[in-house]
Amino acid sequence: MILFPVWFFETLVLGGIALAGISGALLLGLLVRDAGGKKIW
Amino acid sequence: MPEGSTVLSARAGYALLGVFGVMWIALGMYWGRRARSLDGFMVAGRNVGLALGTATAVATWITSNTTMLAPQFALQLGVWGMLAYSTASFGLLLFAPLARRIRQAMPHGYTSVEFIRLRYGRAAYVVFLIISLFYGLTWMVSMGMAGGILLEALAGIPYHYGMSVILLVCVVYTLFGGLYAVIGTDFVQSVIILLGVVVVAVAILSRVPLTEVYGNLRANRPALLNVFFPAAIMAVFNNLLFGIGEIFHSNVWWSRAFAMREGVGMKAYLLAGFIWLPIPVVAGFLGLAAPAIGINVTRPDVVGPLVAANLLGYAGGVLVFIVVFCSLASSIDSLLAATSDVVTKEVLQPLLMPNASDARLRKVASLVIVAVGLITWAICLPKMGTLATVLFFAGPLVGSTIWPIIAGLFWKRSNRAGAVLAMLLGSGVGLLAYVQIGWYTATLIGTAVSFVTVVGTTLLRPGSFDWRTLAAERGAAKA
Amino acid sequence: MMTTSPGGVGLILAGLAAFTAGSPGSRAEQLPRAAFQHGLELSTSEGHVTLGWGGEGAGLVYELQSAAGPDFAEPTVEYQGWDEASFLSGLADGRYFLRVRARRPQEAAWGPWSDTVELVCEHHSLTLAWALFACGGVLFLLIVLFVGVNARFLERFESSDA
Repeated sequence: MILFPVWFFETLVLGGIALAGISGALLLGLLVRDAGGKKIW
Repeated sequence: MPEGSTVLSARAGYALLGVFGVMWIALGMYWGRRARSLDGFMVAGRNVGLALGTATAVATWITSNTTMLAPQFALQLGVWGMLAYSTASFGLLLFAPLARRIRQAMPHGYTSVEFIRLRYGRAAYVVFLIISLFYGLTWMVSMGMAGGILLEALAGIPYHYGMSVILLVCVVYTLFGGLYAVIGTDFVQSVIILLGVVVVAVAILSRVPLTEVYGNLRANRPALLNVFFPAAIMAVFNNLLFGIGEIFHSNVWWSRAFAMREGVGMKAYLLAGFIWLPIPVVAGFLGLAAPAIGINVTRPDVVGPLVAANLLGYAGGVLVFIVVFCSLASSIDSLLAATSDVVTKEVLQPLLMPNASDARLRKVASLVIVAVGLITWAICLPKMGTLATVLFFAGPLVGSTIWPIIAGLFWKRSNRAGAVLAMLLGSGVGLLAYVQIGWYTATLIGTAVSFVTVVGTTLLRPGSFDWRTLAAERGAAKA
Repeated sequence: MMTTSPGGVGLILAGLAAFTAGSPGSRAEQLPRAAFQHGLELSTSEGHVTLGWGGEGAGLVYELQSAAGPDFAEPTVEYQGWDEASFLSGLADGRYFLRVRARRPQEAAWGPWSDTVELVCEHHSLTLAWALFACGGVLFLLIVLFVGVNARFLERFESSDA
């Protein structure tokens, strides 16, 4: 059996967590931008 | 720990349900003041911006499946399972150009069923309607059941109460606020979900280093790290195509394409796809961490919440409860709204009230939401089947719609008979494959058969569709 | 749930022996038996299985043991605790032997081992998996190409005689 190496596993999980966190911030940032231009909906 | 104890007390569970339930209803009613008109109710005024557009796509696609099934997938199929689940985001990414085309082709459109009816005629409309309603109902039932199961596992709230409360809350605020309420609450829910999942994952990492998780898997569950895990490899594209079929056909996504301001749709779906991509990996990590933490998993479908609750105690239980409640609500409300749109405009209006005013249709749509909620509740009551199997049955059906839809949007030569045949054959052969061979082939085969049928019939008997038919003012063109 | 297997008779005899050999005046209590709640011959093609068991009486502590051979020469303790089920996954191809036993929480002595479960793990053929992967990949690529190519030229739909 060939296993995924530990660095791959670590990068995958840590990268995923980081991206998810950034995404939350991104959505909030977009909302602020839309609100500024009165373009929310 | 004696059998029967849960991480949260029933009192805490009911309290959380109450607090968030009231919050969603209040927000829904507040935003729902804009939803007086039919366009407001069904397509949120056709002016939704990028922030809300992106968030609603993310939140709606993060279902309880994502938060509960992804950990299970990871624990069953390992790293490949996580990666395979992430490919469900490709449906969102690929829908981006479709969203743009849909808005271009049908500036006054309401539903995906309407598109099929105008593009391919009555027979296709009937087949597609059946597929749409079957899928919508199946998804809703799986959400309802998941909610009941989860609340029982986390807080000991009896299945029937938990399931009923969740459905009731969603019906109420969707009823009052339409798509405005749905999209507005989606934004709040998406932020909560993203932050919640990150917090749980980081908390787990602070207790158990990643190398230890890896080491434990390697020692005790090595196949989960296998680069060539057969069951996972064979499932990758089956699930990917299932996801594409779900998104391409369902009015949940079409209604958002109609709702978003011109120029926003494509960007929103692209962004949403990238945001969604890592979620199954993070959720899956919860499942893989279970053995390393020394948790005995008694049933794989609650391993996600089990890990969070076990490791983080009360706070973890509360967080998971909130995250899953959000992911359930954000999907159920969308389904309620989208399904009611279809039933109101594409079934009730042509059959019973072809000349109804928008105001009348708006009222009817409200009633349909209640009806759909009731039907879902009734089917959820007996708690049949497991979560995954109920939904996977819809795989070949939705897979068979992929090519009729994209050919219908872009290829003027594809004809009516081809579309009908593709959906029927794809569904039929796919279901047969499900039963005879296995679930991991069903969507694959359904899509393949549908593809061959669409391309074959288009090349053999090319039509010549006039795109202007799709753009007609509503009410002016009756198919 | 509890089957009257040949082993059951042996357990009763053992219980009687324990009774007669016990200290004078002690209550004759049989050590709790444990048994799996499903068949003894299990198989999986995905490397995972849910085992379920029970024991005589409530609130028992269980121990689940696995080994590569039916003689349990080098056993591994999979689980010890109150739960009556365990989900094992990530198993490689091979045969696994599992057994469970119970004890009352206030006592130190374990009851006898249950009947042995033999789990055969034989993963799907990798060839089949790659074949399906390839088919799926082709289908997916076709969709991407079709949508991608058409998406570049959305302007052509603008003109009224598209």
